[in-house]
Amino acid sequence: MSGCAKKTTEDVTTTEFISTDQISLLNEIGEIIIPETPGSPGAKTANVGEFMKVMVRDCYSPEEQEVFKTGIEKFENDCQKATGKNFLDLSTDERYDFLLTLEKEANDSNDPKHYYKMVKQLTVWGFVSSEPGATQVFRHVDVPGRYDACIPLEEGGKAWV
Amino acid sequence: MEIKNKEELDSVNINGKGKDENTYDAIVIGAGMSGGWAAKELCEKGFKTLVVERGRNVEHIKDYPTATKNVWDLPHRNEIPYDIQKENPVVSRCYAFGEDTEHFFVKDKEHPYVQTKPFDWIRGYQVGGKSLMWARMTQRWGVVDFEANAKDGYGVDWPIRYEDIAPWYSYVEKFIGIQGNRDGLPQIPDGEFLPAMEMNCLEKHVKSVIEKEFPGRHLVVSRSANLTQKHNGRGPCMYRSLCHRGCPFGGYFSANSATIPAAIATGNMTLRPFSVVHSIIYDEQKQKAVGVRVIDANTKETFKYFAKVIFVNASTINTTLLLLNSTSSRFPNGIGNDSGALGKYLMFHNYRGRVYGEYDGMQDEYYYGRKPTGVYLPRFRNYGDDVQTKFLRGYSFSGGASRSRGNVDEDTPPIGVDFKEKMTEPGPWRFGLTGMGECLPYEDNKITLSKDKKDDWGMPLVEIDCEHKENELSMLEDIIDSGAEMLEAAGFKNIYRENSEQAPGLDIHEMGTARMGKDPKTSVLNGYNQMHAVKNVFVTDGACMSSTACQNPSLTYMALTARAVDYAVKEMNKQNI
Repeated sequence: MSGCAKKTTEDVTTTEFISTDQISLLNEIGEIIIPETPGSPGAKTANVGEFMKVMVRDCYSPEEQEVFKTGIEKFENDCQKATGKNFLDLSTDERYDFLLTLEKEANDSNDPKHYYKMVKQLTVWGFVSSEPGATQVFRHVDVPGRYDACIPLEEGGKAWV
Repeated sequence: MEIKNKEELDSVNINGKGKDENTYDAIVIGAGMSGGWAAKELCEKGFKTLVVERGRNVEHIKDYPTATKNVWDLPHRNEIPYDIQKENPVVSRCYAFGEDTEHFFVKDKEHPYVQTKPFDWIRGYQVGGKSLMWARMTQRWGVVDFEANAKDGYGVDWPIRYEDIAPWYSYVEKFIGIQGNRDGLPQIPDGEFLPAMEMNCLEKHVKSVIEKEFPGRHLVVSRSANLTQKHNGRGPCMYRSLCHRGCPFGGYFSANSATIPAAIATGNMTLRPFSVVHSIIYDEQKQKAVGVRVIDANTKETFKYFAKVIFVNASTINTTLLLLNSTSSRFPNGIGNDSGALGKYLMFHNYRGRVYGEYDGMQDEYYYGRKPTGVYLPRFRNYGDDVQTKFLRGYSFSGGASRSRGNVDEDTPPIGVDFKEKMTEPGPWRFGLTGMGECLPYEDNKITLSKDKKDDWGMPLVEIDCEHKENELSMLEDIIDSGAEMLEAAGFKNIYRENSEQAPGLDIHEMGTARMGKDPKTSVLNGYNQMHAVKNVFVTDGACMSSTACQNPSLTYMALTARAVDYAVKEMNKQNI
């Protein structure tokens, strides 16, 4: 592609690794896996969809990228087949139920590269390593300043990240 | 310009400058762990010292670009992109190589070498060398370690004993700042310690079980170069455990934070980064070394620098590379190589064995902060009353306990609110031990120079021919067995016994190839790290080692360096050099 040519919308969508619609979809999937709860952000706030795009594009093998990209397309087909609707047209409860069936399918398949496993793992990773996840949900202190070797874990105490 | 041979290099004038301007009292080759010490000691004794470093300058704090970044500030959350990993498989296997430290590691692709057998050579080409990214473990060697070669006949006898180096351990420890307990164990003699970093609950439990159930085995806080209090204007540690990025608090020892600034403060140091040393110049009439030939890493121009004494601290393999490349009619096989030992007896630490397990108890216990060190279990095999028939020498373990992140189990819903709740809780306690096995010196574990392959600076490529042999592999079985039996005794479940089968080198403890010894016929250096055959050349990095013991080696390099400088200066004052 010429560096000087003005990019059309079509160019942008074909040159981006995945589309902005797909990033939004991944954020909605992530939000069912790790939902916002009172006073505690969820995966959508952490923008795990954007995280997945960057990580899969830059850090995954071409084979894994293919599983991921075709997986996103397969996801919408699977959703249509199972529920008769697009994922985004489902209620929160329906989304939860559909992801549960996918979870079961992925576990039963014994395929470590099932796209759902990849999406779930990336959701958790993207959430834990995000600023809202680390600072508002987990225990994160930039500069602890001291080390207490043995202290009681308070009720509901969170894990260090 | 490609340097074809030494004669061509010698014919290059010294770029318009007179010889005087390129003359110093001392030259130190390499500004890393041991070179930093050589520079500091020489400069503090009043010597005008030129420090040549093949990489760029890295100034303390200023050149630590990732030091204060959070993981979400890194473009790939500290993951190395796929293409970089593919192009650089060796360095990608290093535990400390991440997006946060990438700039301190040599990429395989940029600095190739020949692996006659698999050898993961991990390098840091910059001022500070690998002292920026080291693991900071600093146990002293004990009496048995310096006697080991003499006892079983492998390798040459060390020309020194523990008492020769003990005061120099103290000397460097006082400057470095080492946290630890005085444990009273002769395997790892006590030193000059700052208050120790405490063991966490599970580490204490494992310690008590091991010391009760396994006489002769001890679990101690690993002594380390992390500052538990302010020390010589540095630190203290802030418990971020991000040391390998360079510490903005100066919370651990590196050449950049400690020895190089001390050398600069004397006004006696000239630092020349981007300086690849081609060879040492030997004067046949004077029968000593008179200087070094340097190739500017950027312009590839050549320079000569002169001095009365030369310290070689380019890191084990690169040190021997440049010594082998320093040929003359007196030394056709490399400077100081009358014995033929130069390049031979390459050693490493056997890091293949690892055990870890989960612990059900202590669910109400946790910790605050991130401790940058762990625990250490000193040698117990073939030590004291213990006699092994299947292998010589011994091994240590390093390890630590922590709680995993996430407490998700089979009963947890796999997604949703409950999943989120459980995944944010601390999970089960885990504890792991990694063996560090002593590796015997073998003549055929060696490095040589390629006859036809050269790097971008015209230096011959190193060929590394090194492997685990029978003694190392027999010991490995015992490392895994003894580790697992301790975890079983301490009540762990899901115990994993791991043989990583990793190649030598990934331990980043490569040693030997210019060994010390009493006899010039079988060794390169004498008991003061001085070349038997060239009295004004000293080698005080890992290349000098005659055996490996089973302690992390850097502290010993530093003590040997300070001791060697002290000796060199006395000899110069007596006009012996």
